[in-house]
Amino acid sequence: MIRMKETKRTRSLITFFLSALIVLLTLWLLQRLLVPKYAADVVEGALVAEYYQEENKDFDVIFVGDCEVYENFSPVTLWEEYGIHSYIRGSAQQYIWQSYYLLEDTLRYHTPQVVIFNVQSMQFSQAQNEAYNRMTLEGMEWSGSKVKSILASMTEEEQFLDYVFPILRYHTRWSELTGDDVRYLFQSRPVSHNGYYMRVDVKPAENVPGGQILADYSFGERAWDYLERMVQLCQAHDIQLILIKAPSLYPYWYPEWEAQIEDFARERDLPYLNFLELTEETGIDYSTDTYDAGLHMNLSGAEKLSDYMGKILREEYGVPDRRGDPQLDRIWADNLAAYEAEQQAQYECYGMTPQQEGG
Amino acid sequence: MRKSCIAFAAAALALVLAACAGPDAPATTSPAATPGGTPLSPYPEAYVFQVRGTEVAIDQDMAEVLEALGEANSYFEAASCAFDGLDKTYTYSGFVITTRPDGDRDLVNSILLTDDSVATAEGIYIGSSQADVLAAYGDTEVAYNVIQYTLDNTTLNFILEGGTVLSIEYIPA
Repeated sequence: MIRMKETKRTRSLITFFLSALIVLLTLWLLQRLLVPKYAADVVEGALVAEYYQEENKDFDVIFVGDCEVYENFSPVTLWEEYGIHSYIRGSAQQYIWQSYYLLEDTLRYHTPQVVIFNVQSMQFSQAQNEAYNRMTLEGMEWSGSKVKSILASMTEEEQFLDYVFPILRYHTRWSELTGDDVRYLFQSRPVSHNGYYMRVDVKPAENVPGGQILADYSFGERAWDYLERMVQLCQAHDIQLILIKAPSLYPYWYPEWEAQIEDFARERDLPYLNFLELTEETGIDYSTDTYDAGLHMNLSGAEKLSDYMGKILREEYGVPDRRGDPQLDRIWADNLAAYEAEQQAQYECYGMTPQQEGG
Repeated sequence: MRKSCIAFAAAALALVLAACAGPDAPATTSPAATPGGTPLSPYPEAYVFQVRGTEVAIDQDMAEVLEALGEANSYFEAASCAFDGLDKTYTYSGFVITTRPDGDRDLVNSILLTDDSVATAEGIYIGSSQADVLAAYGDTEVAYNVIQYTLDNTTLNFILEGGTVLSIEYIPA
């Protein structure tokens, strides 16, 4: 009798756990289906997650920042010209605290020799938009850094639980589902080249608006705090931090902002390169090297900047030439093939020849 | 035990359904879209900029403004990082209008007065004094050289230097 009762109890327990498993699996599948895949539209939302797929994360150079890094520098060029193994950890309108926590997250996997941070995001001390937050935060693997980044980023309307269970936030996407949501249910489509978002088309910079008068040109305390933290994090890991301002003409980079960064870099003995002032040295031509009238570089512009940066990394900071390492040679041969295939596909898509671009 | 299983499944389902009553998913195609997808419309009580016999208001369809004012002296468009649609800047003599995309339309997102050839509907122009502003719009706090007034969907921003208006801008409240 007792044995029969025990058997019944065991069966009931198994039934309970199986039922729970089925419910959880169903919810997980629903969540997978409903979250944005960033495969065809707004592909920038897939950039952060792609890093974790890298076979060899032993990068010597890591770029962190917003679109002014992931659209303006080409790691493939750095490899081809200098044998520099690099990656861009950037996403759209990536705030400085998000860059800081992405760097912290990166250090869980490896310690680069050089970190390059673009200072454009110093203008923000608060997150502006949930959609941008999600494009950066959702792609991060779970870690203390991700939790801290979410807590630092959330706008008033956002809930932490929505990041833990994205289905709570995306349930209304039912009506927007496309074939991509099924196609990329379990596997994502690569959208970048080591974090670089490629565009080959050309739109010359014309009529770029100047800056309007601001009541206060000072960067916010929060932005300074995270920049200081980034400096300390790099110092603690013996990483050379290089500050840059990409040569994007818009949004406007105020002289007052430039002065603050120059002072900070001088005080902390950090190198700072403002590419807006280095167009002659880099060879950037705003009539051919940008695809959106000066906001971002096209492929030609990104390759020119990378070539210039690579020389500095090699000659001034001794970043090694890793060519000849069999594993990296194989990885980068694949990367180069994907890079050239996309380049060709885009030339065909835009009905262009490489000569029509700045290169 | 079966009841427990059903209760567990029901609770899980309720969690999802309860979430369905929450806000819409964040925009993945345009950050300017309103949460419910409802088109924005001008507010009759809001501050408006009057120029060349026409009114320009925040959230107004830019097509109407272009029809009234004609082509701008210069035009610039910029794609938002990652999103579809263009933020557009129309520069006229004395003022600059920017727009944001909203579906097929472009809505006025800001109106910046750039010189003293134009003035607000209440008569304030670049070069007016702080006292002029307070007299025209009412007493309010002056914080960090900024005076702000909000009516409905529009905030009118005055930036001052040494007690003189340096910049005037209409922005969404």
